[in-house]
Amino acid sequence: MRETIFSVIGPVMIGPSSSHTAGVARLGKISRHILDREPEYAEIYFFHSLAETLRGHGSDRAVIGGILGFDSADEKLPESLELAGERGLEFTLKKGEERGAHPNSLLIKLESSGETVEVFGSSRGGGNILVEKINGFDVSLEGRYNALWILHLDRPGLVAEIASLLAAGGINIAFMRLQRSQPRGMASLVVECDQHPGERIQEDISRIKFVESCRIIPPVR
Amino acid sequence: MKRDWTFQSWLETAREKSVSPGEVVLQKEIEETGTTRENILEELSLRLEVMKKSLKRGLSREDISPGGMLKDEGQRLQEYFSRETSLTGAGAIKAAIYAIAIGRENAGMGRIVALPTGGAAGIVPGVLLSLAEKKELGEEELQRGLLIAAGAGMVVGEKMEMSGAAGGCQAECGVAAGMAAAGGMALLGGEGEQAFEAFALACKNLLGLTCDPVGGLVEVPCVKRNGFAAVQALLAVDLVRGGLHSVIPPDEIVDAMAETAGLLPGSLKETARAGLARTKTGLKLMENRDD
Repeated sequence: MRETIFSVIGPVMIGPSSSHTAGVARLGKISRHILDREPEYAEIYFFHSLAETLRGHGSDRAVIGGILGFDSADEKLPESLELAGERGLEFTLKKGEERGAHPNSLLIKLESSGETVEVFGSSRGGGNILVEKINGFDVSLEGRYNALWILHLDRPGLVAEIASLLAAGGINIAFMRLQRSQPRGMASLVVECDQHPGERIQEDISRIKFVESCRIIPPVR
Repeated sequence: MKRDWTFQSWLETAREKSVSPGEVVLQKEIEETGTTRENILEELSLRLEVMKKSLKRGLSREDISPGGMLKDEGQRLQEYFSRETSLTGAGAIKAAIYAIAIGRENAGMGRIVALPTGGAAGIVPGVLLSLAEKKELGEEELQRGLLIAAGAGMVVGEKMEMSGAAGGCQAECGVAAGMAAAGGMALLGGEGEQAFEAFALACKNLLGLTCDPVGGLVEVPCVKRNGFAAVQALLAVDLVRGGLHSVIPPDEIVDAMAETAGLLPGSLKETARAGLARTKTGLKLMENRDD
């Protein structure tokens, strides 16, 4: 997880806590990217250590700031709760229970004109994050690469088709994670790439038969 | 085959390639991220700039912190010791003041460089910036010091998560003190074994340190602890310079820390459920807060 020196000399962030402020802001921001539009309503559940120190570490301001699109070094982060009103974002913050989860876990539910996403993730120290579930599907996203999140029906050859579109566009796959709900049911594919896949490839993938949706999740700072 | 990143493999790589340990870190970074040497050094300078700015702001801050427990610590100390002589010595008090000022800036939701975390952000710059002033060292030496500090931090990162919630304060201020000691030793020209010895001595002394801040805020004891840890890092450098060494090798100290992290109870890992957070005064201070 820490193969770059800038994960220990960094991130550059707004204080006070790299795991409870910076990491949480990044989880907020990546959730916004996953929703892929301006969020209108947010419901956030904080677990364990995060719940205990919620306001003290500015985790509330951090997560809302991230959802508004601020990065973890943005000096607007401390004013995010006030700015949310101006931006038309309503939100509720709750403390939750989740047995066996990482001590710094949170669940972010976002809504916008009927579209909803549920992102479950954890802040892993030093501002590093791990998104563990999107809408109930297991994923593994650290927010460091450009990723594609594709929902599709479980059918033979789909992954090959997606991979060949990426290959044709010169996009190298760094990591990939596929999970289906049941045989021939809905499946979730997360592909982390070394390059930004671009809107054209995104559209081409969206047009593949049995693909429900395809979103680009850019890296978060 | 890719080697595990340990103090031992780091030193062996330096010997095999006949390059300095700082150069090993730089080459590793180039290899693993695909960035150029120039970009890495530029990024290090940018982060040094952020550290200097947070120091400056922390030294002039006089507002009341979000938790109400801090105010003008950096400014007050600097003012006093510009007139009075410190018992710990000019170098030690300066490192402590710098570390406390950056810690104060962090507590006030100011912009800082996590090193390796926000709660411990004052320790490495406190030691390196004060030492560089004292010895009149420039950008290049500071970059070198940061590379060694980062290499040491990454050894820990391979074995455990560096956060109070996962490992207690030993994983934040403990690791930062070790990184600062290694970086400080490097600034004085001892970037190999001597730096690792300094890391070992500083880190070892903070094993088992709990994370129990009042109200869960990064205020008490965190900000002053940054000052204490910076002085310990300097002492570690002095002990190594004076010919002492760590009986337990640095890699084994990291193993011990990772083991201790698992054994520390959750109540003492950034949950405000025990220790200082549950003292009479600690509870009273938080009584009128709504979280």
